[in-house]
Amino acid sequence: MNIYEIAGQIIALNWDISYIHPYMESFHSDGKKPIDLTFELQENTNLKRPENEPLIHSNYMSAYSTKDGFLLFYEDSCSVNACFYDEQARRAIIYLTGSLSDDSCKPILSPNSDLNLSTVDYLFYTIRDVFLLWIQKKDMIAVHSSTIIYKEKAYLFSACSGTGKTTHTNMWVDRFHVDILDGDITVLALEDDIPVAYGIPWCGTSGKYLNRRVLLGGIIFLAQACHNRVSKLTLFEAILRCSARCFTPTWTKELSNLNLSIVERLIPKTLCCFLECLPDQGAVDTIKTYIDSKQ
Amino acid sequence: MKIADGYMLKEIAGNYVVIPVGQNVVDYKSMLHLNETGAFIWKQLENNCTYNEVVDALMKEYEATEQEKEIIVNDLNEFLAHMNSMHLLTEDVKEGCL
Repeated sequence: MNIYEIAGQIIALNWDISYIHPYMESFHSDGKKPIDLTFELQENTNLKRPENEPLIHSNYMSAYSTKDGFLLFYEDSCSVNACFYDEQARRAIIYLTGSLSDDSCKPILSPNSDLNLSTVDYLFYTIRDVFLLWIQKKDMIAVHSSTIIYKEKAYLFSACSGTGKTTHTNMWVDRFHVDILDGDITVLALEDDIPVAYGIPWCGTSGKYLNRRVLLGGIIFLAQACHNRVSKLTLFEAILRCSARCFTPTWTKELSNLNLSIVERLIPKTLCCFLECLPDQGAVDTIKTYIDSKQ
Repeated sequence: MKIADGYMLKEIAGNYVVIPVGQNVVDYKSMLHLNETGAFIWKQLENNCTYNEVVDALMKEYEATEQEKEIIVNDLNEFLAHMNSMHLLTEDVKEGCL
């Protein structure tokens, strides 16, 4: 069994390490802590969908509610058919259409999208989907953001895809040699009432992530503009913006309430602002001056 | 009368917001900000009140006179039409009232 500690959660993957994504490596754990969540594989399966309506359906996935948890069907994967997450048993079973082999590491073009991912990649993302459900119940959220570590604190730059989060944080790296905590999703938690941020192995296409826990410095919501300007957000605006950027699921009212519950407690303790910006160094100067003035 | 499935009303920092849930997050994503009257009507609809019951509840809440009823009805119709345009109402409301 391969054991990992991600955002303080211990997960066990019950299959050969050759089929575990390399980004997991730096989260490897010595196995001394009790396991929170176990993942198993079942090969050569063809799981049938439930007859009830899915909670959500997208090009990527359909999620169904079951008596014991959630059943996820992957729409654009040639290899991962489905995943059953049993909440009570703290166990997820991933159903493969075939079996693991040397070919599992080779990318395959999806028939339904332009994604070109291997079975190992799909396993990696399936683990992520269950992990996000798990951390919600542990009073954590995941926020879609590119996150830097500046003066030992995490600053999330959050916006819709394509806005320029990565462009902006790369300029911080070039100019101030900061580390990227995570290039795509950052986990936030309140620990002893103090907001903290965790890097996790899932980092989109950025390839940038660190296995670190850092105090949360702030959340900056980005928007493209023809000028560089920082503005304050009201508590209400900040809560709404943060809720909208949550990557943790909102498939049901219960899950949405879990997200909102932590966002409402976390945001009042966090520096939040809105950065209208150009893709230039002036934007970095503008927000850095603002952050420095608040420290 | 009924609110369509997949939405919930939340009070956040003293403001009322209708938040999409489930498939509505995938399809619509946006949130709807309501004032106190909007939130009051929403809560009536959540309790499956009829159109006339909502009118009566509004009359009572705002201590309106019979002369003011027309204003309340017009405002309610405008609100329901807006909700309808955002697919927040079930079919029976649309057919019964709008």
